[in-house]
Amino acid sequence: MSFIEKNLENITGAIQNSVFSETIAKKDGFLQRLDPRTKIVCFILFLLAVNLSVNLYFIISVYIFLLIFAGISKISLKFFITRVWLFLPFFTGIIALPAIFNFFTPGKPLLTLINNPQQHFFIAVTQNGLLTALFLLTRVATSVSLGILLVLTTPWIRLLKALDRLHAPQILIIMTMMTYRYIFVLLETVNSMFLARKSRMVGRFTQWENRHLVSSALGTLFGKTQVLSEEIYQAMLSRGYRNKIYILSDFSLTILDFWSIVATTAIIFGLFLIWRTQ
Amino acid sequence: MHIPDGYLSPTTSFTLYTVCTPFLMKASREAKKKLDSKTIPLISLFSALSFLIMMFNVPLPGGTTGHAVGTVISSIILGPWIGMLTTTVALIIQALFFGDGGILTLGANIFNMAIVMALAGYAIFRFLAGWKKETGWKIVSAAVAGYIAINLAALLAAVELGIQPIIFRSITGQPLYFPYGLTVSIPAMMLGHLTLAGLAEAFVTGLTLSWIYRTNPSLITPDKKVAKSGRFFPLAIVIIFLLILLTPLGLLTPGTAWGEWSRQQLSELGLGYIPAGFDRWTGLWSAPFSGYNFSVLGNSFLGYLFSGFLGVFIVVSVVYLLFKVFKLKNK
Repeated sequence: MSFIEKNLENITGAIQNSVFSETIAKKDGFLQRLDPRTKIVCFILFLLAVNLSVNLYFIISVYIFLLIFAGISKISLKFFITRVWLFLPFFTGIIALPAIFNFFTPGKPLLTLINNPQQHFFIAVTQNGLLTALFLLTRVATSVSLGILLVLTTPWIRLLKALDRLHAPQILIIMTMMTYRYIFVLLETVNSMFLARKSRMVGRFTQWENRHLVSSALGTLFGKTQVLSEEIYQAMLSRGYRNKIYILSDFSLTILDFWSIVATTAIIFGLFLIWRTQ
Repeated sequence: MHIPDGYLSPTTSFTLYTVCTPFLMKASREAKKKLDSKTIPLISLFSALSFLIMMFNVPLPGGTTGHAVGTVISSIILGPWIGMLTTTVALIIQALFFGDGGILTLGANIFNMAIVMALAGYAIFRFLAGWKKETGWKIVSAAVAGYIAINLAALLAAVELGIQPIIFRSITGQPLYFPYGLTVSIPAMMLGHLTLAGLAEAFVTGLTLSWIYRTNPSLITPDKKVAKSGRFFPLAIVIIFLLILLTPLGLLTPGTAWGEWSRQQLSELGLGYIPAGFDRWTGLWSAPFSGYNFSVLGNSFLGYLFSGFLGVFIVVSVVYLLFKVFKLKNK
């Protein structure tokens, strides 16, 4: 596959991805009904608990709870599980794999693969190694699943508004909002640029010409972005922009939100107490 | 290079968030000073572009493709502080909405890819580009700056990952986060970045700049004050400071630097003899802090750091004295 097609595929993938997230966020499920602020608080509590935990069972139990949350939020479990576990083995899996052997993590051998005492050659899967690899895998998988759950059940604009209400730096929130919006405008531009090039191509390009193609596309984009930002600024001025932005939101906490935070804390402490002795 | 959640301990993550804060505050102050009310639309749009650059596949020699970060080209065109901000916003969006890089590790990713790459890349570019006036030389400087900056960022990421098993282990001794030490994480990380990612960054930085010089040179912000090398003095200090902080890494490599053996090590090498000249001269000078060790400090890690600072101090003083003696004026 040529790199132009690769880029086109990347671009359409990003657009598809975000459109798909929005359709799930519009469903009428449990997490969709919660106030985004509540979701962010619970998300951070869970994320911290998972990353601070020194107990494998604790992390796995949290993951099971996430599956339940996904289920009652009308997210297809098959999608929720495969989205994480399909790509995870290729990245974290490859990184975690060597750690199971004795030359990286010494410990009690569970499965001896090669044992040649004459040449001091000994390869085995160790108990500590297996635990280390499992720790990394489950921790990463649970953290990533938490993020997916938050983003899938919250439209992006509400998520950012909620962050603003939670006193994240406002200038950063506003820039993130605007950036997210214009990523898609620029994606459209790049898409047409590559498509236009592809539709005019008959022969093959050399590597060098391909690199020039990418860099000239980028150079042109820098110019276009500059012009576009100027136009947007003019449009903002003509609509009365005076260096101050107000973010409107219509959030209201319900009794459900109260109980969700209580439940999150209860789950975390409950699991902690259950697995404390392990 | 986007570190996901679960690879770093929360302690490391929060430390790096804290380290990022002053840089980002300074950056947003600089941006407001330069752009005033244009700050928000301009930075947002260029952040969107920065997000796109990270998504691009760059064709590399050998038929593979690689991704560039793009902080260096943004820093050269928009200035290091704005370049830093645009990459930061792009990284936030990647972490929040696209699951690229973790939420807790966002501080680490911002530090490596936005802050260090912007400052180091820009400083290297200015340093090299200041030598000659030709455009061709500037393009080469930009490519070199991109290459070095991404590798510096990768090195920092490798160090952040590699210190995890040293600091965080369970009671039974198994690593809790990233399992490999620095001796594994640094070579593994650098292999990919010295080759593929480094080249991608070099190509993107150099070729894009060359395209802009040819078609739209007004885009590059002329910053007259920056032309003076004196402005980079503080930056140079920061970089030297960072390098000193990295010196204890040397402790991890086994053995002595090639060609720097002592008399005893030389005999252990199995050479069979000690060169006669070596024997004659070797007792001539015994260093006050042999092996960079300060027995008073009782800790080789601290000793290394102290040696680093002392060494830099001595070099700077000697150069300063030479300048004084020969009455050279630093123009």
